Amino acid sequence: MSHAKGMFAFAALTTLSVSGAGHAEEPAEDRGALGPEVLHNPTLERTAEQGILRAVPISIELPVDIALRARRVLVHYRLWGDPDWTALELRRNGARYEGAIPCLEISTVTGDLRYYIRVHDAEGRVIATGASRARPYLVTIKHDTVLEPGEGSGAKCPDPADCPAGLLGCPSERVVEIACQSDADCEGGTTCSWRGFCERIDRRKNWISLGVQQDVGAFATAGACSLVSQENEGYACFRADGAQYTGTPVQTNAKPSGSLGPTRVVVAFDRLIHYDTTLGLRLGWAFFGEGPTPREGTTFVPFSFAARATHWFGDDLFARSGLRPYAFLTGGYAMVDMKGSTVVRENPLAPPYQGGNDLEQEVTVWKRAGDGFVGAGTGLAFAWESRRAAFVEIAAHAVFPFGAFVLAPSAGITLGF
Amino acid sequence: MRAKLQDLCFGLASAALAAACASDALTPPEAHIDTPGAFVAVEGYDEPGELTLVRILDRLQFEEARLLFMTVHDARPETYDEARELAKDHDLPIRELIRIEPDTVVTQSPHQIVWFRTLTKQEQERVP
Repeated sequence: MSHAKGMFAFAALTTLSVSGAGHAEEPAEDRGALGPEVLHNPTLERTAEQGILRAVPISIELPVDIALRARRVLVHYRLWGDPDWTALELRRNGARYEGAIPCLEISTVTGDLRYYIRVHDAEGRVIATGASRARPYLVTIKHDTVLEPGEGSGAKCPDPADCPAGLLGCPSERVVEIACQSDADCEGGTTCSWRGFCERIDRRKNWISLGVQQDVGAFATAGACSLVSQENEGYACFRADGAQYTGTPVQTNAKPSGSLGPTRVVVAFDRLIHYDTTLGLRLGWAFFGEGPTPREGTTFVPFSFAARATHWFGDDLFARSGLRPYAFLTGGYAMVDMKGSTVVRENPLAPPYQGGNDLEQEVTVWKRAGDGFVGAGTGLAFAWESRRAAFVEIAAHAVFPFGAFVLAPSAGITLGF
Repeated sequence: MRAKLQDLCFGLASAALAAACASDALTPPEAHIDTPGAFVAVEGYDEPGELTLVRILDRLQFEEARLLFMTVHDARPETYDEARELAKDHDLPIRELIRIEPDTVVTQSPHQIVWFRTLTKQEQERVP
């Protein structure tokens, strides 16, 4: 390849057109989502030759409609033998964007230098491309001795100490962070972070959990055994002989009662929506702890459902293993059966509805609390890998309209994907 | 002054703070001598100086008199407290299933209502 042809490939990339006629054979996956290809470069001139220890100048001029929206123009290049791609940002110079792959990067290693160009708007979105990672421009770096006369006579590599990166006429600055708006703007296995830059971190955004939850509740027993309470408020009282109490009790100041509630297996899905925030849904099944259905009462529904917003305390906890403390707000649907006891005093002067009720007797009280609840909780997860963790947590639920206060400790495992 | 205190108690009750207040202020209803289901320990009913435990099944009110239908239990408590504990036993032996007496048999002797239990259907059917 002639020297003139090589320089065309470097500097003549500046000849621009929206048509992108030089990229007709571009792979299908490189087209479409990333905007139009703007750098016109005939197929036969996608390659060039370059001497060692010389910078590779790159200069482009964007079409007006692209230029108006462009905020950054990045050159992604990969040297021969280098597994990673490196990005440079071109400087704007009037209507052109200019820069160079530093000659020190070129060094004395011969082989193919690959590069392509992507134009980003102010929000990081890719709005135009020149070549692609799959089909990049090629610059073959050759030793001066194998170049044709005159081809290796370009400017020598500047001393980095005398010519800091970023100054006009010096090599372009290396781009550490590449702006993006979505994962489609990122390449090479990187994803778009919530900060708006491409990153290569194994942070799982979807988490599925399996756990066991034990409800522990407290509820008021004053007036619990009246017919009204048993028929309308989720209570059921049973005498020592097993019969449901349907007498006429005197209102007393019975103390609140508490006991274990249902035991549930809970499946959950949480979505990481920011570094420290997840939103999730939970579906539970009560397999133990169902009480008797009160007279005229609703049959126990073992299913439970909850939505949850969780805040995780720490810096980007999902990118690494270790402890993950968290707190959450939750609300949903659940029936909670609880068993307690109280002393019922019979009213001797009321018409008796049920025989055999002593003046005072201790009865077993079941409370079917629910069906809605709201609450808050806290927990601690231990991730032995960034994508696997075990957790313990406790939540406090206010249950309504059949009121109760329920603590819901639980434990389980969670997997990220 | 007392009325104001009672008002204060009820006000507190409505604010769910009335637990102690209500129990102090309100006396729960008690069984009377003619309340069906009441256990009455009567002194001298069988023998002078001894307590007999009877249970009121029903009453029949006349203009100037009242008849009591009673079950007489086969128990001889020595104190009213003992009579109360015996009355709590649902299987307390019965000496006489039904006896009809004027209430003066009870009211004119020392007596105390020691317990109460609502009558079962079978107990109610003892009354002719």
